[in-house]
Amino acid sequence: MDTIFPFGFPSATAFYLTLFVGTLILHVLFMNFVVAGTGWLAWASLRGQLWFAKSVSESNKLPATGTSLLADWIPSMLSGAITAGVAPLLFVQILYQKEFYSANLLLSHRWMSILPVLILGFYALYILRTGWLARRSVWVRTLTALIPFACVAFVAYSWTENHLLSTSGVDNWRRFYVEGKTWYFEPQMLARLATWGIGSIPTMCVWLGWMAHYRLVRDLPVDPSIARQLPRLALVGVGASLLCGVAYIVAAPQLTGVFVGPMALPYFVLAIVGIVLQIAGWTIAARNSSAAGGLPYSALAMASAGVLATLAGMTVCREVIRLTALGAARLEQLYSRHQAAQEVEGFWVFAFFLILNAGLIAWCFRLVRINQAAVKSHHERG
Amino acid sequence: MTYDFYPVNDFGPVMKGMAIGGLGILHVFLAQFAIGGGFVMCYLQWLLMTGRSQAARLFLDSFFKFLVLVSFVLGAITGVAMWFTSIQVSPRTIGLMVQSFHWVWATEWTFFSLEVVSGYAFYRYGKFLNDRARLTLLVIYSLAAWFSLFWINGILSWQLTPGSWIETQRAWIGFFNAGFWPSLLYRTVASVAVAALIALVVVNAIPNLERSDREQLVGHVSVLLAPMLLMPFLGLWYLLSMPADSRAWATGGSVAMTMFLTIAVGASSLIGWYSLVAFWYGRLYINGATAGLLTLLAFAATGGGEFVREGVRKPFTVRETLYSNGIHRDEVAEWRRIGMSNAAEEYPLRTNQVHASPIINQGAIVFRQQCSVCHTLGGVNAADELSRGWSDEQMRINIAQLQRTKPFMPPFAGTAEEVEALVQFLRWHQQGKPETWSLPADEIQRETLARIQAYLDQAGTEPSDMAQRNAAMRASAGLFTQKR
Repeated sequence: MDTIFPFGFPSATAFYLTLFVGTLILHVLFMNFVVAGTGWLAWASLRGQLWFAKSVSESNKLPATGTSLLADWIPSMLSGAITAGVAPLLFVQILYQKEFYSANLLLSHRWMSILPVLILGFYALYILRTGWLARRSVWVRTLTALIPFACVAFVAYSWTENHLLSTSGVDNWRRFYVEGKTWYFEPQMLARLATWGIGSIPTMCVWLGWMAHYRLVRDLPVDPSIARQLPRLALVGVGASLLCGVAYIVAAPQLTGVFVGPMALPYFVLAIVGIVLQIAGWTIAARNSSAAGGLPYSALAMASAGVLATLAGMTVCREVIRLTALGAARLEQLYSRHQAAQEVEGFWVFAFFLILNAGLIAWCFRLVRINQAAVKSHHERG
Repeated sequence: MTYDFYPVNDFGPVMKGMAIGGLGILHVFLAQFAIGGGFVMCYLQWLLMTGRSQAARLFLDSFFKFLVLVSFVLGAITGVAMWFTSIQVSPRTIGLMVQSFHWVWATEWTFFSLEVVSGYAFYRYGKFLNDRARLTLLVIYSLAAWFSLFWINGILSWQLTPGSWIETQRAWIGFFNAGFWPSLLYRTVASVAVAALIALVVVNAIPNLERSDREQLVGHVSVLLAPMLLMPFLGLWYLLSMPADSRAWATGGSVAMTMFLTIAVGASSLIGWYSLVAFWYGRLYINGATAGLLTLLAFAATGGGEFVREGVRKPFTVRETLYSNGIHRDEVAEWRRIGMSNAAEEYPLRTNQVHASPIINQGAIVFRQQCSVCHTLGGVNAADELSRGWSDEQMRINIAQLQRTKPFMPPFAGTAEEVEALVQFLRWHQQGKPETWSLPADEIQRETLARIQAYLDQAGTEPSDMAQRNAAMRASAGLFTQKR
């Protein structure tokens, strides 16, 4: 525990920790789009700015706004978040089986309620795109647009609750169980949740920036307001999440030691470098956006690199907080399980299909891309 | 002995198996729809490309929208829900499954990702793509969906027929077990049939479609019900791949299992016969209501089949390895020696569950740890109702010799004191939970415990062996026949 993550652990533990963190970063990339995106849609609905294209062809004809891009893409991105979430959910069971299962069981039906809530939020996102909703009163439309955000916020809260409870230790679990509680709270919870929640805004802005960029590449119209909106929103997101981060450290002062400790320090530095890159990228983007609504490629690339660095750095820091909370004695008990898991057959089959299917996924994108001419001619035919 | 105790939740009157079973049936049905749906769409896209069905294009777009809305949302989330519910019901079972097959699950995840990407690519852009690209996406989608079945099928069939995995602990030996191929092929045919039936509902629901186009589509989709002719053979093969005692269960040894198997076979047969007649006449039109009814029958068949698949594993969740109550086969002897209720104090009773008498509290803990996964108190499969007519001594012998009382029950994993505590707890519950509970004099209690110990020793710590289980099944089946 006194070496840079994950090298201070036995090889099996380090291996699964790396897989867990790697796949979690992928999940967070999608999840951030959904968290911030549903927030944006809720805000737009409250301001009466909700309007969506009902089909890809319709959205291709009209200048894309942040709201229309979000409404168009968010159901697919939620699907992506759920799919990408399966792998870290698998590896967390290998790494911290007892901790994860105990927290699940202690929160009981409260925890399980995230599933119907997710289904409700998912369908609400699809309903937002229907003609049926467009014909309803403004109140119905507004309330429907608030549902996905409320559902996602509840799921995010529940995950934070589950995570903190899982690291809180057997004595706390016993008390929690005996008293029959189903809600868990720690003073750091809201600040932690706000740091991650508001921190999702810059990731969403990067996604939207690239979506707008590729629309312009395909000669599809983009509302010029996007080029002004995204850098501002991203910078506000970075600033606000930094403030929440400070509140988080105030609420849980032990975190300072963890962040500057030997395991997490390089990753903490990476996260800060990422924040600097994001600020620089978005500032350049704000000053150099095109009248057509495009953001400069290099600035967008810089902001994207910054988001990736911050996400990677903070995801590792998050893991180091958990490892520190569990403590060396508890972790040592887990090593033999990790070793036993690593001896199970199947890794090379997984690696083979991971590469093959990643290639096929790329091929699917290519298939759609090389048919862009058809899409365009369809668009031109109206 | 390393034994992870987990908090145990009370589901009230609902049996925990009902939660996982109900969700499992829904998820399997949706997953079958997603898998078979890919094949249905490939077939119709091929008909479209070869000029045999122009209406297929309209159908494909409508059907795929429906598939995305149902399968990608409800199917995906119920899939995740299966994991979470399994944790709620039996953390040790899902823990063993994940530990033993995490690379298989990880591999399945890569196919699941491919399925979602190719599916959404078709959903968003299918209309604009040329036919060749459409077919390519559909083929990728179908194969990805089918391979997700391939991987999970190995894990599920391993639970019943782990074969020599028990000795070797080698993942691939467990994966390609005796039930793997029959189960995979059966599920593949079932998937195509389920998707074809739902497709018939969709064909009837598409607005502005000419009657002649509907008839043509119904004819094309009905062809995909033809593989159902293989189901009796594949079902029989699957039944033969089961261990003899599990097979005996499903074929008369247990009323519930036999009834659910009959529902599965009966519902599938009805669908099969209907399709056969439709083929025979060649001009039978299946309207929306009929298609809906046939889909409901398919759901009943899925439900019946899944119930039997889950049920015939008893007393194990992983055969010869882990019992339904999460206790490992090798751990029973040790719990007999040291008793589980003291160790389970890692999670004492909840404040509102603590009773006046220590022996009742001990019995409540024994019930929670060993019985509550399959039994409730006063709800479904209620232990107090099942044992209400027994005398105290009958209850002692039946619990101490559980695996003999019912061959689908695991051996009792505790001391004589714990058997007695459970007996007292059940009796206390049957008598309306009085505030005070008195016990016989110490001497009588000592004699009682000595008798229970003798019962426990007679039964041993192993499950009822195969021959014994089969004999019990036959006897039980004979009894059932006689009673009728």
